[in-house]
Amino acid sequence: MESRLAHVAASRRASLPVIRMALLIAVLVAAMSGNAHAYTVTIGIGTKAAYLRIGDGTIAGGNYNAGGTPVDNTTVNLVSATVPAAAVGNATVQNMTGTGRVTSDFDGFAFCNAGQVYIGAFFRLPTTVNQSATLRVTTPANLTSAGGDTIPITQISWTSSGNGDAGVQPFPAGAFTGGTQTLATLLRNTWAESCHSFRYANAAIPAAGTYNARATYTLATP
Amino acid sequence: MSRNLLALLLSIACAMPATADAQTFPVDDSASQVLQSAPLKMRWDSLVPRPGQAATMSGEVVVQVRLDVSAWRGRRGRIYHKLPALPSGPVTVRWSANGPLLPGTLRDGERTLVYSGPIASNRLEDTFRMTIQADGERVLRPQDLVFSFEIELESP
Repeated sequence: MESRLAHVAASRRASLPVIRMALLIAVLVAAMSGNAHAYTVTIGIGTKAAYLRIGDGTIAGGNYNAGGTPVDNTTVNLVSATVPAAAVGNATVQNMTGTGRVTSDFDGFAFCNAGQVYIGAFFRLPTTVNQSATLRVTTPANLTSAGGDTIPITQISWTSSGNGDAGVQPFPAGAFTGGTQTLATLLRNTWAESCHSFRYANAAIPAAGTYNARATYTLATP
Repeated sequence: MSRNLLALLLSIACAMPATADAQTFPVDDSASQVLQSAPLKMRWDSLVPRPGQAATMSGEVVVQVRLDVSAWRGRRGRIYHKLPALPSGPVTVRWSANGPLLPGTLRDGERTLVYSGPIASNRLEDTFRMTIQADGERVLRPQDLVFSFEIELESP
């Protein structure tokens, strides 16, 4: 009997470490499995945005840099020149006068002078790729009078400037070619603005009358 | 038998995170609730960033944080808020809290202390008003931010 008790005691002693380790494993397994959960917040992408203003524009809630939001403005501004009868066709360039607001919607700065046409554009994309938007203008081949007479649209050109600007204008000087022509490319996330001063070359001798044409500007984004 | 168990024990110990030495355990926050429909609307921080300036965007969300700490009741510990590193670039989260949890700032790939002290109840609850800021040029599709909490127990 004594011998058997000694055996049992020895057996228990031998198994004791096993039990302890088994308990330890159980504790570790419980700790590892845990009941971990995670709450998830899904964030969206930045909004795409495109803005183009030719002449007049409307912005609500302050200037753009103060949180304002551009609003659709369907005004079609007029740029015109009246050629004195004595000067018709003498190739003396006639300055044209535009209508429309001359302050920038970015910060309210008087970027253009009276008679100039403000051109401003901006686009934003959620990407690291340097993609560009393209500003194009489409014009008919001619200015046309009510009587059907014409003046080539190529007689209209413009210079480009901006108050306080010393460098190259983002929308440079040029002349209408008729059809669709590219005026500039615009890097994303960059506000671009210029003031165009239109001119009539006055190299044609048309019949008396009022000649009109519409130039339509389009900003195409990637 | 004991040798097999010892080997198993060692393999489990090896599989445990390095923080196991500091007695760090995940905290069950399955009762937490995000009070915002997904995806969170993000707004550009700067409408027209200057050259070289990051085009960051931010969004705000409220989270009811509910942590089950019953397993450690009566102990002392430090609880951390975690956000894994994100391939879409740096994300910074700032939040206010009403208590008992702490307000703070958390960047992806890091953790931030939100509680330190005795665990006196089964649950810790708070409301986080979070502002999440991300690089708007690198988040090209909706991105899941998977937050978690872990507790580091102090030695008894």
